[in-house]
Amino acid sequence: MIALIAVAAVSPAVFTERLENGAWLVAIRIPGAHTFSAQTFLRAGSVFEPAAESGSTHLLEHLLFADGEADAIAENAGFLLNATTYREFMRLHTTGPADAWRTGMKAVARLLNKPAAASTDAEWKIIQQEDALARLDPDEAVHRSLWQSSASGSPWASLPMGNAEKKPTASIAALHGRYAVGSNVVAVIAGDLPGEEGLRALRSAYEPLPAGSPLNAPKPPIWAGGRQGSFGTRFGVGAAAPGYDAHAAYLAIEVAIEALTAPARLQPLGLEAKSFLTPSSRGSLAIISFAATDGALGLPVRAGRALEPPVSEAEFADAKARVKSRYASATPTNCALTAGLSVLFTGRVINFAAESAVVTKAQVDAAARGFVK
Amino acid sequence: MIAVVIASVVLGPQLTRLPNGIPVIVDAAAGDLVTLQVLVRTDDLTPLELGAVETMAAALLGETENYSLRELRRLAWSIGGAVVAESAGDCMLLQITTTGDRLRPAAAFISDALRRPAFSKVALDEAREKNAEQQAWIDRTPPLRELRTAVAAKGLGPTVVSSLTQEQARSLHAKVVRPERVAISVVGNVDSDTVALVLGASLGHWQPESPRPAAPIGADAPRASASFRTALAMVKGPLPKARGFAAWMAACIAIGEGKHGHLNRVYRVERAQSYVLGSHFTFRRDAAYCTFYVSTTGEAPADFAATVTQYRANDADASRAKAYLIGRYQVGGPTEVGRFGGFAIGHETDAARAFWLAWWEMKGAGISKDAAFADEVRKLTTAEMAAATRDWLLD
Repeated sequence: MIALIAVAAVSPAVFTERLENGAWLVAIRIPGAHTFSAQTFLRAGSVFEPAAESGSTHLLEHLLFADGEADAIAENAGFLLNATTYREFMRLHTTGPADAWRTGMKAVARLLNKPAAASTDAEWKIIQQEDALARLDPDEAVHRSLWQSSASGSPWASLPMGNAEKKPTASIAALHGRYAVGSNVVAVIAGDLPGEEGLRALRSAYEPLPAGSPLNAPKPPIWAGGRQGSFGTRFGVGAAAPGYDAHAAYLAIEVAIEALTAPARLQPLGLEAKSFLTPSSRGSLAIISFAATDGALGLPVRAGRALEPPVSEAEFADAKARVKSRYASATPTNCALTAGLSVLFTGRVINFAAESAVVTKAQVDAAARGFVK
Repeated sequence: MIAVVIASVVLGPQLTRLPNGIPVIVDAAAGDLVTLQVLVRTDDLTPLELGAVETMAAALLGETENYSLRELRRLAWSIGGAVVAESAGDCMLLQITTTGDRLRPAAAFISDALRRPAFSKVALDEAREKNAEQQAWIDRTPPLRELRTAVAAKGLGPTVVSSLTQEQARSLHAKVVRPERVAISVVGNVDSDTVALVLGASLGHWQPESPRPAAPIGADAPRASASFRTALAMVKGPLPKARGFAAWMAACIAIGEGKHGHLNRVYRVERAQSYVLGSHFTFRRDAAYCTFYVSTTGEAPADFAATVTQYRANDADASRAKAYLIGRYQVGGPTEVGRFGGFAIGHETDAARAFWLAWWEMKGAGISKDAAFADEVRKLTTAEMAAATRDWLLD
């Protein structure tokens, strides 16, 4: 127990390795963690889809679960598998009791087995239900509209979920051969585990993957106008956000968003806000979605006032501390997510907690101005 | 301090009582932060009172007679901590997470919020706005509205109360927030002597006045139906402190939770009918309840109650359900739906551990149940789980 107390203050230790098939493996040792997190990232998503195949990656994601085998492994060990498809990556993940990390890692890896296409029609009906559910969220309209108007004509305008009206026709086997290959995979295991042992377990699970061909996301568009608008009870504003290739600038916009949506800034204006910033390799769209908490009129004007630069010194200090605290939080889920995405996008582990300390107010003010351009 | 922390970790959680009987549980943990959590039982209130508690809880930390919340909230926010007051199904939860050196002001503040909330117009207006936002989310997110409406109709859960006067808030507060209904837990870098000293000074001699009558609370009209349709089936089970509780929980999990749960197999895998299905727990003073649900854009399945009642777990299902329940208890529930019931919280954070210690104590099972529960589930037999489902469906 003394040893536990002594090492609990030590930062997580990160071990990385790259297999011959191109897969990156990341094991993160977090002494004293009560849970593990297993996360695998695929370079896959709507920006890689031809227009006629919109939604095909999301359909593949569903079919990876269709035989129930990976779920059975996970649920019999006490945890749930989950997955999400974004524009530039697919995330397969689970969190479970600390001592079950090997089983968790195996269950996530099992998802990469080639799926049978037999369940495609049934799973498409489920996706239509998922789409109907998503549309009940007012922020979904903000998202869909701002992305489509800002990235019009580029693959970035496509929805990760696809078009529920039109089932994609792509071959499931071909999609699987394109995405679920070593050169497009980063596998992460994080928890209270020996780093070398974590890497060894990952190696045996991911070595069998074929190398495949590495994918590169298309260059982000020059974000066009129309980056704001009213959608029902919400008013959305977008700004061009840097990617992990410019991680100092990425952190600056993260701090800016935190400052612009701080309760002390919004409450006097009778506003609440939600922010959305998805990590990317070279850039994406950041969105702040406002709503009036008092039900009064003038939402766009009040949102405009909330976004007025500059960010005050106190707001900057609070927001920076909060972002740093988020990255410094050594939960297995957070550590695995940040490390996995930074390796997927840059080929190395970025220490965001340390780098957030050097973000300057000038950088944050510049990032905040992006929302009022 | 290190020696004290090590001793406390070795000893495990410690329970003491303040002079007025409030149980205080202290669990030492490494790190810079301390979570101070107060649970107030609400599992015997009427649907109207439970609905009103949702607003009252949100207004509780608006302002007190002696303290401004603003600075503490800002400090907590800046370090990634939190100041929370909310209704959490069968209890009201007040929580402050802050650094160890701020335990004293945090305890003073939370004590003031418990004993002397101002319920100013501003605080009640803010609470109403916050609740309206929450209610809008419930209304549009299947199956929450249907679920809450059904549970309220049986007198077991909150109905919608959007407006509360200062007089009503004070009267309800005096009825609900009382030493005999409170359990406190403190988890983090702190020792039990310090906690006893700090909380003893602020809450140890708290003897509230009797509640004064106020004008009756009014309920809102039910909302119109959304684009999803929901089928529900409610079953009854034993109290958390009772012997059959673990078996009943595992039986509910076998049906309602996970991709290999019975509902998922029937309504998602076999029929491709639903993406939204599961179970919701309600813990009342007299019994526990589980409401199974399936929501779909098509017609709600007419055979839903039969699907629940006719199910019998085999050994494989029982084994999966037990593992799932243990995992969920350690890691937390998967959906927002669980937030309105119990067992959505795991043990990953200090705040989560604080919750469970106080919850088991509040339910009369004692703090040792927290460590023992997983083992109890592990030892269950399929027959015990089957027995728990006999004649369990409510009309």
